[in-house]
Amino acid sequence: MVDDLLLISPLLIVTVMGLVSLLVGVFAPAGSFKGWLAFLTSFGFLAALGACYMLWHETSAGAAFSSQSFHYSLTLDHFGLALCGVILLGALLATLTAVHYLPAQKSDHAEYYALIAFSALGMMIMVMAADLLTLFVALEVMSISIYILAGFKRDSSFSTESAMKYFILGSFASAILLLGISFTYGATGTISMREIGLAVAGGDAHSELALFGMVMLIVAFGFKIAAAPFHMWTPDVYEGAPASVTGFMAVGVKAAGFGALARLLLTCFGAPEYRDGSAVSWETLIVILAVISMCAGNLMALAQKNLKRMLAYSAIAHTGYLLMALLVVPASSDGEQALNALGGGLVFYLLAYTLANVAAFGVAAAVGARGVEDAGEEAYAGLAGRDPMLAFALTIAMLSLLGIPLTAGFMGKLTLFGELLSSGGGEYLWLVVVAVVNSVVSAYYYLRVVMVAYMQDESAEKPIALLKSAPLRVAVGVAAILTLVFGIMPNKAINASTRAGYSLVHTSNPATYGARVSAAKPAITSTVEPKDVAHR
Amino acid sequence: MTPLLASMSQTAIPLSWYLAVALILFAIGTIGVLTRRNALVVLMSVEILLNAVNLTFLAFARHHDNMDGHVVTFFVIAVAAAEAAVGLALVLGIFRHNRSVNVDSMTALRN
Amino acid sequence: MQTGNAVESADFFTHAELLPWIVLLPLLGAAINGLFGKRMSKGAVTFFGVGSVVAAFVLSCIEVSRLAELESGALASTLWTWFSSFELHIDIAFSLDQLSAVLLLVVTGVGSLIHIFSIGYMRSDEGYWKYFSYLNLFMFSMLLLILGKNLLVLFVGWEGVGLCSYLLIGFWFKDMPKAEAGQKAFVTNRVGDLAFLIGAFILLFYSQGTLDFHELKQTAASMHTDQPVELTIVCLLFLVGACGKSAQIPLYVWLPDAMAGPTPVSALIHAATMVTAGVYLMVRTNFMFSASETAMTVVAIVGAATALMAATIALVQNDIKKVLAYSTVSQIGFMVAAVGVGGYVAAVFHLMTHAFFKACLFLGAGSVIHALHHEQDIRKMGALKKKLKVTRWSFLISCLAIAGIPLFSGFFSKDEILFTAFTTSHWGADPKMYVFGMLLLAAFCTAFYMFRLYFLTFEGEYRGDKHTWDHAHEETVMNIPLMVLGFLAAAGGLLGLPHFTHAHFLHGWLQPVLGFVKGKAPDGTPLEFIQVGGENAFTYVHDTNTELMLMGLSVLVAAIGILLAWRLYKRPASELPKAPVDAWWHRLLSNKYYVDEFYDATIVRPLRGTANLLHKVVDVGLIDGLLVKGPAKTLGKIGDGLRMFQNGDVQAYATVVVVGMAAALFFIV
Repeated sequence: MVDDLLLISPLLIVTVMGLVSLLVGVFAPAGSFKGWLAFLTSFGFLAALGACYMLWHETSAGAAFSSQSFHYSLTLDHFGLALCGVILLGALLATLTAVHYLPAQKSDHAEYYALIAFSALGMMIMVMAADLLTLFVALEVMSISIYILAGFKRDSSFSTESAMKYFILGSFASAILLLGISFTYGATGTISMREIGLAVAGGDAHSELALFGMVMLIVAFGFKIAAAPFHMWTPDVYEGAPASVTGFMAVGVKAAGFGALARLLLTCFGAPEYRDGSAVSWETLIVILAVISMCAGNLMALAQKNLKRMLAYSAIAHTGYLLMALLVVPASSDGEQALNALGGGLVFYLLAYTLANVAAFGVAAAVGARGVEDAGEEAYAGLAGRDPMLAFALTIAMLSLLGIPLTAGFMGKLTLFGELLSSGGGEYLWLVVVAVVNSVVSAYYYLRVVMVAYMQDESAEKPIALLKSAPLRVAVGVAAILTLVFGIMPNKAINASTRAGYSLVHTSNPATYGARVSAAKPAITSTVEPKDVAHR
Repeated sequence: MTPLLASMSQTAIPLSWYLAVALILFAIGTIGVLTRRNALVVLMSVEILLNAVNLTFLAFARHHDNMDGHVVTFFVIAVAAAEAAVGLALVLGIFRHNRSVNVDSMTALRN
Repeated sequence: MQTGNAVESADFFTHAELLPWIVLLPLLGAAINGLFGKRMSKGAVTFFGVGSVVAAFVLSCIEVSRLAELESGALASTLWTWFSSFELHIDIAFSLDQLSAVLLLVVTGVGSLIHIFSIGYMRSDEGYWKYFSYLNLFMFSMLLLILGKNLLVLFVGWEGVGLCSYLLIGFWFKDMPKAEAGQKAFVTNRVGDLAFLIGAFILLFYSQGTLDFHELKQTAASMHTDQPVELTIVCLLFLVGACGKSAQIPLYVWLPDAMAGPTPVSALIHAATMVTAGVYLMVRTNFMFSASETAMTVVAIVGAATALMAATIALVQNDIKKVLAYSTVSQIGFMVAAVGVGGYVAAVFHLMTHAFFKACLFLGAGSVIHALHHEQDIRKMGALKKKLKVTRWSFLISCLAIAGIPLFSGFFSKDEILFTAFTTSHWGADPKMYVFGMLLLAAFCTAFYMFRLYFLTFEGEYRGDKHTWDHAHEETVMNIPLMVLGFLAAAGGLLGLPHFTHAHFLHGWLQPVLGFVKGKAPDGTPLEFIQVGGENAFTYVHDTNTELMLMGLSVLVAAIGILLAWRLYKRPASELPKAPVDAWWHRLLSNKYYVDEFYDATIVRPLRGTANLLHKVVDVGLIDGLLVKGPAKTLGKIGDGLRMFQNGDVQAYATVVVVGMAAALFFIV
């Protein structure tokens, strides 16, 4: 029992921290500075990161902890741990940007930090969920917390409106998700992902119902990860929500959504007829979503003047690139290679994306904190003169999103595109070309930000004071430095990501997990050794 | 399973009927979300959607003769309550700003 | 396969621990100046900014001398594994072979001189520290580009120099047109980079996960037999990349605009180093280009056409820097054409001599502009030889060099290009005589416009205002680089004496990289070959009589050009030809211009500006409008269309979700 609790220690730590800050907040006098709670929660995130790190080394590659105590509702593998790490890192840095931002927005309430912790908890459970019920509850824990956070600036009609929009569309998407779960359950008679996978692979599932369910699940997750055409909420919500919240949800929801979607598709619908190129496969659907997302996101970002809104469209474009990572598995042939596929593209790209976005939204929080509602162009014009450090971090973030060499974003694109090319036998060369063309188009709007920050004078009529906040600067600085570090020496991170991808492919493949489910052995079960994925 | 129950499930209404009702409910809910202007009615439509899904879960649970569907339904009901609480609070917030709960009054964020 | 290569690579390369420092020193300089420069004294900024580059030059000399002592192979140093997953394995690694050695010495040497020149030129600028920080960052990127052991490290430098050029062009950023010129340069470069990147990805696909130049040789050989079409596509994509960086048709438009930056920057980036990166790339991957006849023909045509077109445009320019800018485009056209006819040695040779004389010309122009309080119009200059003695002599020497007067450096390199174009056959085809013809004509124009520039600036009568004249003077710190470069422009040609002397140093030096094979024609003429997969791709004829005959021809052409310029422009102010409409050569240009007017009337009328100069129509109208701004506008329009859906109505959003879901269901089920 205690062993089992150790296995989920990252989740427990975050839960406890959320509860503690909720309680402490109740006793803190109204109107007092609540920023210190941010340090408490950040400490919790840091401790949870440490726990993830320890668990990572406890697990042998390709295997998963599997515990009876939770009725197989969680899969604790390297993939889940890696994404938990990414989520926690994003949450940690985003929390620090809020310390002085919230008081400046006159929204300094203690609940903020509790909600951040709870939604991070939801995200972490999402990427570990092993059955559809856990997945649904985790997703709701995350979503409901974020609805509230989006509307946290109660005095602002923008913030409230964005929360309401997100809420209506989000609960609609939840209903679609539930319908998908229901159909999948109806088709197979179980809500355990592995058993669904076995039923589907064994041909025991009602195939029409299963297909319906699969499409609805993809649509619902497409909504969460902002894939076009289910992306419509993104720009409005990103723009209206407080910048510190947008930064957190841009990275966290995306990581959690992609993690859950990848696990769901591979575990439940990993059978060839559901994934390989035919008309009824998710591969085809994902290709279409990927192309629409990157093209629509980039095109619409071209005309944006508001930093937050531009980043929202950029988020849609990046969803397009990230969706390509899911194609690596179906693209590789069956057998040995399929077992080693997925690779590091997904996790590493998410890491790079997280760092760049935290930095960018941190800057958006700093420039848009006072006077103006949002980060329009005039807010960061001439930033280089007012605050070289923030301007530099913003530049690094933009270059990383654009994919300029020596930034993490470049390595992410290279890994992702390279893997797709080498595993698919050239089948997806065209898609890679589309993605590269898109990333070149994106130079127009990413560099525009840099140009405005460096080459324009700040607007004379309404000079905007920058938010003075040491924690924010630390968070932005750390994100920018890590972006460079992972761009210059990414090998360890990429190897870890590859290990994570490898472990997901293993824990989701009926051929490798079938035996373990019946063994019903608690604690650590390790059967398979990695097929030299990490080191060639 | 007792013989009595087994015989009951044989004579019971077929699965497809339940599904048909559920899908009709789902369609009603969807149309409500898409067309009704009052935010409160939109929230109610979302509830209809969730209950439509609950119905399918129960129908499938009976069909497969296991408890998974029942469990999910309980959770859905609980989550729906939480969602409704947040939703109503947001409607109040919107009303404070717009003096109206019309969904089409919320178009400050666009393009 | 890869393990085998790795072992072979290990044998081929000798470890060199100083190599990374050559690259890192300028980065350190950039970091120190960038972070603390604002608070440091000017002396300290100068120390770190200039010192780091000079130190890199010293280290380069040491390493190159080590390379010269090696019996075979090259120097290399691997810092760390950048990237290793799946099939891919890429190191951050540098290598120094005979080709990169030439570039390395030119870049660090000329770079050092330009840094020294900048001390004087930028002395009174408030962004002194920022300027040196960017300049050092540029040097870092350029050195990455040159020393990169694989295509990806090269690409890092490739993007880096583009980025720095963007920063440096927009250096005086209060000035919005300058910032826009910077962006134009960056966006045009991105078009090239896109092609380069796609080419690299295709190559990666066929090379089984390596991008190491040494290992790509085998990939090229195998692609030559198995995937010739794909190889040609890769080569053409690389050519487009090179066109972007090296300002060739159709992507040359950014270079003349880039003259908005400080003049030493123009000398460093837009004359001596960055713009030759495309040529370097093509010579570096010569094994791929040699294998593809189609690609080579396109390369030759692009180069020759650019050389000729830019040279004709330069004839009618009046801004001293614009003349030099078009001249640079034209001279790089010579190099690209040289690559296209297989004259890799000639291309590198001309790259080197061009770096000397063009850097000298730009710095001379900088000295003139500095002396005349930022006057750039040559119609308001004249007789400056009385005031700017050092500048005048170094400028004259460089003009003689670029025009191709015997014994000056440009004479040897240009002649070798012409000779190669005249005699070399590729896969047995006839030599590309049209390339030779176009280049000869361009050489004539070059001699004419350079001496037009010289006479208008330094001879005749002064035509500006008196106050400026009285204050015009030279600075010592700026004179030293001019003298050194002037000397190099005069003597640099000795490294590549004509083949009949058998003292062509560069030819022998580059032998390990290019791998010439000697042979003899049936009539006893010495031949040389470059082989691809055991077959003779290029056949070079080393025929003494032809070489001497071509030399005489090109000297004659240059002399006519200079004499013509002399007659027209070495006159008192009142007798200068007013508008050159009555000159016969201008009629020719005008006729060409009617064609452009036709385009103008049918396609780009709204964009047409003042209707007297060729470059206005082709540059601003056609290229800029259609290629640079056009796509941006079209894409913007599509974006606007999409944004109509984004009307803020949450129910419209929900409808899109439902429609999307219905479409997905319909599609799948």
